[in-house]
Amino acid sequence: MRSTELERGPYGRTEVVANSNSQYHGETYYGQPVVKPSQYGQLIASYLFLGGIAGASQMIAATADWCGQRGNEFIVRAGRYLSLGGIITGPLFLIGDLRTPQRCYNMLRIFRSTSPMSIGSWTLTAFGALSGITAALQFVGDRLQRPGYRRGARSASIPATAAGAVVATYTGTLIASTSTPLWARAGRLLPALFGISATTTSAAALSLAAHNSAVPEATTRRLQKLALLAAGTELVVSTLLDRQWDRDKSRRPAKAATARRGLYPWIQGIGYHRSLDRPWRRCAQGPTIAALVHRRCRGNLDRRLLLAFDHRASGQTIRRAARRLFPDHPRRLRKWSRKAPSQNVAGKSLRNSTAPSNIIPGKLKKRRTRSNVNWFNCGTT
Amino acid sequence: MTVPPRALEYSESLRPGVIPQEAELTADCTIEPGRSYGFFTDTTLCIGCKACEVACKEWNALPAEEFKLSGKSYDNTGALSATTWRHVTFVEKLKEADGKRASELQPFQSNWLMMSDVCKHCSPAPCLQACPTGALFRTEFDTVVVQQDICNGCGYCVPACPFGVVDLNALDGKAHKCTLCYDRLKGDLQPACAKACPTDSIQFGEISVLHKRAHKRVENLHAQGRTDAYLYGAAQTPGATGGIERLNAFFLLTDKPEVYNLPPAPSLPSRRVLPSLLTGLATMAGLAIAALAAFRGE
Repeated sequence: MRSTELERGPYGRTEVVANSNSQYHGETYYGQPVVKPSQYGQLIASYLFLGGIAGASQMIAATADWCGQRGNEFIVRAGRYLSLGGIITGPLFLIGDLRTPQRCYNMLRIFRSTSPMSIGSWTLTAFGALSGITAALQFVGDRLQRPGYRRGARSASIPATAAGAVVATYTGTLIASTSTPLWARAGRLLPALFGISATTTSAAALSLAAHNSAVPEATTRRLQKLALLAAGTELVVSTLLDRQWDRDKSRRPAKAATARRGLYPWIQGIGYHRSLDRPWRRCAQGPTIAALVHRRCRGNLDRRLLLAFDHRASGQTIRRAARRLFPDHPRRLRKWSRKAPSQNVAGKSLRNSTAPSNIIPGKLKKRRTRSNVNWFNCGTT
Repeated sequence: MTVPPRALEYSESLRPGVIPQEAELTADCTIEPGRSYGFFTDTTLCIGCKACEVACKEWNALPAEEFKLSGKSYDNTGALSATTWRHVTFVEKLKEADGKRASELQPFQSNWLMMSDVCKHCSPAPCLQACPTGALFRTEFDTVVVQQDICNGCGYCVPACPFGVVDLNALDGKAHKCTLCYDRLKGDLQPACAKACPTDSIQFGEISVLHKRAHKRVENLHAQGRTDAYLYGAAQTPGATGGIERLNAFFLLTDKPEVYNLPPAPSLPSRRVLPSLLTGLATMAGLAIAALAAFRGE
């Protein structure tokens, strides 16, 4: 009797639930989003850029080394140095993003296979060490002109490449393994896109370095070939991603927001414009396709940055939606900051004030007006 | 002269035997490590008094939110946050099914829906699975708690929670959420909100007992003609989907979960980790082959 009774209910046991992809158009709780927005900001976006370059350039250097073709030495050397540079600076951004950065070592307190953040922390540590060893062996080998060191670098680059592959892609997994609807629906495509765009960017960066160094033209051409291959794949995967989002009827706040702010064409434009300097003159005499490829590479370097901001923006959009829903809620309006605000509006220090922290007026950020913000409702999960 | 029998109940100054745990008197359950405890929130009994919100803030020494009128019925709290671990939602059902303004009151609870929202202490818990530091852990009472001396404020638990419960506090830079009064449980006391609830809308107890009680309550409500009552978050009910076996704080609802700002089908984000990682690695392998092809040729 009970089961038949339950069937009558809106969510009776036998009918269980609508699947999470279905769009609900009924009454919601004052339109509030169910999930909390991600708190990632500019620092994480910058890290996505740097970490991706570090991981992919290690891979490019290792493959160039294993090909053993003449004229690849530049790619190997530059790739390893670039990788080390990226992996030294990237984690600094990560630590800077922690709300309690003095406890950053707690990231290595445990290993948790269900947490991409934990997987990433350990992989970053391993990758940092391996990249350091590879770059150091490369450096010493170059200085002393001893092939033994270079062989050592080649062996060290195998585990470094494996770790680099994780570093370049786990960030996509990390944001996909949340309950943020936009990211959660792209679980497989995001890491793929991150890996591809990391490769495109690294190839672009290395080709840029090659252009500005005295290296054989063949080296640059090979890098451009790789950049072109990766850029083509990137185009395909990002189209697939867009189509998946369209199919799921998810809003695409990231793209829309970036495009509306005019950032997209602007950054692309800078990429193309700046690629017109020296190489343009050089390539003007040669086949024009080379100039185009190079411009594409330059554009991609900036595009990777843009992509990182895109994914940051989708988190921000949900945060903005939350701001709209809590327009007078200073907790929502406040920019997350490690520093407790010490000044009130009149500039008077309240650090030693006995007033409860939650009513210090200095924390009230200037309220955004509706007119200068694009709102997106993230909907319910 | 005869002594009234009830007076005799108080004639002994000392009770025979061991003094019972307080929870035994107030919640009819003993609190022992190794068993699962949680809340059963029966929304049909909620009167929206917010005693749970106040009791929670008082016991856990949480600061008040800003004093503002939200314009959303009596809900000036807004949502669960780092400093609000109980939140009473107020839904005024002012529209009929055809979208027009209601012209008459419902016979049951007028046109009101109220629910005291709280951390669901999911089993398994997405926030716990996402936490890279181990600050979030499962206690001996099968609840999920953030260890404030370990949390480094990475904020990954915030988007991981499918219910939007965990939140970061900007002032101390740590994640906060309901602890199911871990300190009180250790002292054989039931959580502050459940103790303060005047209508027993919030019931604390052992999960298996609560489940039985809740199913019985649903049956009773159905018998009374309230056929839209259902459980949200008990095992095999909506809310316990997508890898989440059960919510240790579960609810009895009478409308769709979305109306109460609950997700209709929450899922464990960690289920996406392995396929996603493997896709990423396969992509990188493909790119390495592409790089080999590009570097080998002229």
